[in-house]
Amino acid sequence: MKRQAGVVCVLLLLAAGTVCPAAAAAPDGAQARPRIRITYATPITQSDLFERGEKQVLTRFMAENPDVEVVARQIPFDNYDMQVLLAARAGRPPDVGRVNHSTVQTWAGAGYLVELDDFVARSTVIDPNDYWPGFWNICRIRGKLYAVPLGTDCRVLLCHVGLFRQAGVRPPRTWNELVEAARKIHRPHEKVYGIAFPTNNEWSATYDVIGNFLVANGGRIIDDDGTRGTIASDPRAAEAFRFVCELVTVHKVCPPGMANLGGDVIESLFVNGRLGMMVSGPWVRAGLHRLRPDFEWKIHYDMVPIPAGPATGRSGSSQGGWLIGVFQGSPHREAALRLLEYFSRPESFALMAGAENLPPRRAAMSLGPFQDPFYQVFFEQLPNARPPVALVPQLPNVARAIQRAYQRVVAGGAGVDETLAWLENELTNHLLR
Amino acid sequence: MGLLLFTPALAVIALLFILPVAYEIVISLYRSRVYEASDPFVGWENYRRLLRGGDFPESLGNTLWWTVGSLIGQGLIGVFLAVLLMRNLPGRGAIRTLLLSTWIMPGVVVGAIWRWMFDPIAGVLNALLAGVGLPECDFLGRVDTALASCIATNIWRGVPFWLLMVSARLQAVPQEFYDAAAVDGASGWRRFAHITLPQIRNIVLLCAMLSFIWTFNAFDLIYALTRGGPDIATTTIPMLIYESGIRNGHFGEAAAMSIVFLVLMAAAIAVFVRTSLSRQEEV
Amino acid sequence: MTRNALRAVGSFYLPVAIIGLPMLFPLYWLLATALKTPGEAFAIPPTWYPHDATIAGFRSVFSDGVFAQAIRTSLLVAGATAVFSVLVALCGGYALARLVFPLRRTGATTLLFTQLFPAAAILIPLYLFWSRVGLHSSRTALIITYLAQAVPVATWLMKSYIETIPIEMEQQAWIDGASRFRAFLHVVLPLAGPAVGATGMLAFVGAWNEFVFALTLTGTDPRMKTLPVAMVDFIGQHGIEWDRLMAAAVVATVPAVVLFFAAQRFFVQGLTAGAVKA
Repeated sequence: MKRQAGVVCVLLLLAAGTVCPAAAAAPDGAQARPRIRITYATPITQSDLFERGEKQVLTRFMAENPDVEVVARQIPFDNYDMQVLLAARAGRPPDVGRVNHSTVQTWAGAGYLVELDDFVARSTVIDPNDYWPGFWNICRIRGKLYAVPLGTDCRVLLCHVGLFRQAGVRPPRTWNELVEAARKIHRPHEKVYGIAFPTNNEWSATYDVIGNFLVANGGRIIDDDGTRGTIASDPRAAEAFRFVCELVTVHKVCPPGMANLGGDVIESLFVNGRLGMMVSGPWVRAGLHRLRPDFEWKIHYDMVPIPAGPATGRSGSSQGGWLIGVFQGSPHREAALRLLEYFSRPESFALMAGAENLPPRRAAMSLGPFQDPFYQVFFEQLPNARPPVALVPQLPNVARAIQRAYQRVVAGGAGVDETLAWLENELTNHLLR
Repeated sequence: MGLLLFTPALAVIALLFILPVAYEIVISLYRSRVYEASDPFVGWENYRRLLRGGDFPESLGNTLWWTVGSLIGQGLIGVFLAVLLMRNLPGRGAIRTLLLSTWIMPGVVVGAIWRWMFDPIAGVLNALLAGVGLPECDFLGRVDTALASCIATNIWRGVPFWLLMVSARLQAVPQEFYDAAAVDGASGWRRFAHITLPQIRNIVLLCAMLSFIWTFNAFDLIYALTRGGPDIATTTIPMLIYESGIRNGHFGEAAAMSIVFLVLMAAAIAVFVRTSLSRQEEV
Repeated sequence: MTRNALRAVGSFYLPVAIIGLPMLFPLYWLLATALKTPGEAFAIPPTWYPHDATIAGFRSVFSDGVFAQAIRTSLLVAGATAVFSVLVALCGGYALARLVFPLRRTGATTLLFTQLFPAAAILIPLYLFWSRVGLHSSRTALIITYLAQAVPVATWLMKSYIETIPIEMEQQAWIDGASRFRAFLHVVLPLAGPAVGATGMLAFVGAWNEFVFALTLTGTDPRMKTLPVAMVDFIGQHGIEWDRLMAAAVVATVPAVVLFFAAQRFFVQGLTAGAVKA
C-alpha cells in the first residue's frame, strides 16, 4: 500500500514538474534593443544543406540589417505545402518564405501572397530581364507578380563511363540511340541494367520520368488554358509517354520495380557500376558522393543533355525550382521585402549553390561555385527546360493521375493507348473541373 | 457521482469530436477549395460526386481488406505471444520488452524502413529469398502483392499492442484456476480453451474494435510505403481524404468523404457498445 | 538435459523464437544499418552485418543538439500524456464499470466515436482552434490534444479491466466498513496494476509516435520538436539521409524501452504480488 502511494506521489510530482515548464511561455532571451522579428519558411531541414545554403544568406542579411532578426522555420519537404497552408489559413503565415513553383498558383489564388509588381519596379537589385524568362513568368498569375525566383533546376542524362566503354557505345543524342545504348548495357542476370528513373513519390513520374521526354518532344499534357487534358490527342505527348513506358515493357532495359523505385537505390546502382544511365538534377553530386566519396564526374560518369525528341530534334528537360514570396498578413512587410530582395542578389545565389539549385538569373552564373564546370551542362540544358505540365492549381491531382497512368502500364500491364485515353478523360472530366 | 467522474472524459469528447464534426458537416456543403477565393454553397454536390464512382468504391474495398487482414494477423500473433509469455521462465521479461520495443517508432519511419526492406533490388527481404533459392518479388510494385505487403507491415507493427493488452489481462487471472485444472487432469490445450479464452474474451473484443478503428483510419504507413500505388491498389479512404483535403486543398470534398466514412463506422461502433454495455451488471 | 528443461524449450523458447526472431529482425536491420557507412548500407546485394562498422551516423545525429532536445521534449510530452490519461481513465473507467448515471450509454459510445476521425480530417479544425486560443505553437496544446486522443481509449480499457475484478471483493470491503473510495484504493487499484501499466504505456506510445499534430502544433520550433518531427528532418526532397535516420531511430527507441522495462516490472508484476488471495 505504501509502495503504491509512493508510486502515485512520484508520478504526480513528475507530472507537475513536466507540465509547469510546458505551460509557461518560453521567454525570449532579453534583447538589448527591440528588433523586428520575421520568420522565413524553408523546406530544407537537413542541417548541412541548410548551413551551406540559406543560413549563410540569413546571417549576412542580419549583419547588414541589424534591426531585423530572422528566424528560420524549417519544415520537412513532404509536409511543407500543407504546413504553410495551414498557417496561412489560420492567419499566422511566415513573413517570407519559399514557394514551390508548383504551388504558387494555388497560394496566389488563395490570396496568401503579396503582389510584388511595385516593389520589383522600384528595386535596383531585382532585374526581371536578367532572369530566365520562362521561370520568371511562373511567378506571374493573372498578370500580377506574386513571387520572385529563388532557384531553379533541370535534369540531364548521366552515363556511366565504365559501362559505356565496356559496351562500346557513346552517350546518346537521340531517343533511338538511348534505346540502343541501354540494350547493349542491360544484362539482367548479372544485375546490370540499362536505364532507370525514380518513381517513389507522387511527383517523380511527372518530373523525372515522363516530363523530360515530354518537353524534349514538345508535347503537352494539359492545354494552356488548363481546362483539358491533351496527352492522348497531342501526338507528341503521346509519343513521349509511350516511349518511357516501352523502355520497361517492350525494350525491357530497366531494373525490376520501376513502379516504385527510390532515388537512393538508383544512385547506389549507378555508383556500383550496375546502371548504365540515370536522369537527375544538380543535387546528384552530393548524393553520389555520399555513397562513394571517390565517384567523380568526368572520370566515372558523364553528363549529357536529354536526348533530342523525334518531333523537334531538340533536347528538353523538366524544370522545377523554388520561388520566394512575402505572405499577406505579415506584420513586418517592409522587413520581409528587404529579405526577399537580399535573397535575389547574385551573390546570395552564389552562397546558396550548395543547396541543390541552379541560380535563376544569369548574373549569378559566373559567380563563385557556379564557375565549376560541373554546372556547364545544366546551363546548357536550362534554355530548353520548362515545367513539364501547365501549372494549374490542381497540379497535385494531375501529378498523381500521371503517376497512376504510368503505374497502370508498368505494373498493371495495361496497354498504352487505353491508358492514354483514360488519363485524358480523367484530366478533362474530373480533375480539371 | 458517476457523472462527475465521467466529466473529464466528456470534455475530451467535446474537443475532439463535436468540434470537428460540426466543422466538417458545414464545410461539406460548400465548394471550398483553397485556391478559390469564394466558397459557394453547393448543397449535396460533394456527396453526389462520391457516389458517381471514381476512386471511392475501390478505396473502400482496399480499406476493408487492409483493416480486416491486419486485425486478424495482429490478433492471432499477439494473443499467441501473450499466452506463451505467461509462463514464468527465465528471460521472459526481457523477451517481452524486446518484442514491445518495435512499437516505438513513428509510422513515417517504419514506412521508410520497410519500403527499403521490400525493395526489389537493394532490399534485404529479396536477398533472403534469393539466399534460400526462392524467386525474388517486387513486393510493393505489383498490383497483386502491394496491399498484402502493406498488411504484413501493419501486422508487424500492431502485434505489440495486442501483446501488451492481453498480457495485462492475463496477469490478473489467478494462478489457482490453472492449478485446479491441472489437478483435475486437464491438458494444456483444454486449460487454454476453457480458462484463458473466456478470461480474455472481453479484452480481445475491445482490442479488435480499437484496432479496427485505428487501422481503418491509418494511412501514414501506406503513404510511406507506396504513396497509394501502384495505381490505386493501396489507396485507402483516409488517404483519399488526405489527398483531397490537405494536398489538393479541396476542403469541401474531403469533408464530405469524412462524413460518409464517419457514418459507416458509427453504425459498427454502436452495435459493439450495445453488446458490451448490456452484458455487465450494474452496481 | 532434464525432461523439464526439454519441455520448457519445446513449449516456450522454441515457439517464441520462431515468431519472435522474424519480428525482431527489422530491429536488428535498423541497428546494423545505423552502424554501416552509407555506401555499404545500399550495397547490392545487401550485407548481413556491417563490414566497416562506424558510429559516424550517431555522432552526426547529436552534433547540433536538436535531437537531444527532441528526446527530452518527447519524454515530457509522452510522459505527461501517460500520467494524466491514466488518471482520467481511472475515474471514467470506474464510473462506466460500476456506476449508473445519466448519459452513460451515450457517453461511452461517443467516447469511441472520437477515434473515428483520421488525423487528416481533424487537423484543420483543431489547428484553427488552437490558433484562436493563442496556443498554436506550444507543448501544452500538444499535450492536451494527445490527452484528447488517449483518454477515450484509456477509459474504455480501464472499464474493461475493472469489470474483470469481481464485485464481491469491493462488496466485502464495504461490508467491512470502508467507503467506496477506500475500497477503490485498497481493493481495485492493486488488482488494476497491470491495467494501469498497460494503459499508461499505450498512451505513452501513442504520444511518442505521433507525427502530424506534433509537426503542426509545435511550429517546428527547434526547442519544441518531438522525436518524430526531428526524425523526419532527415527525409529531404531529393533523398533520405539514411545513416542519420537509422541512428536516430535506434537512439529514439532506447528511452522508451527503458521506461517499458521499468513499467513492466513495476506494474505488471509488482503491484499484484500476493494481492490475490480468494
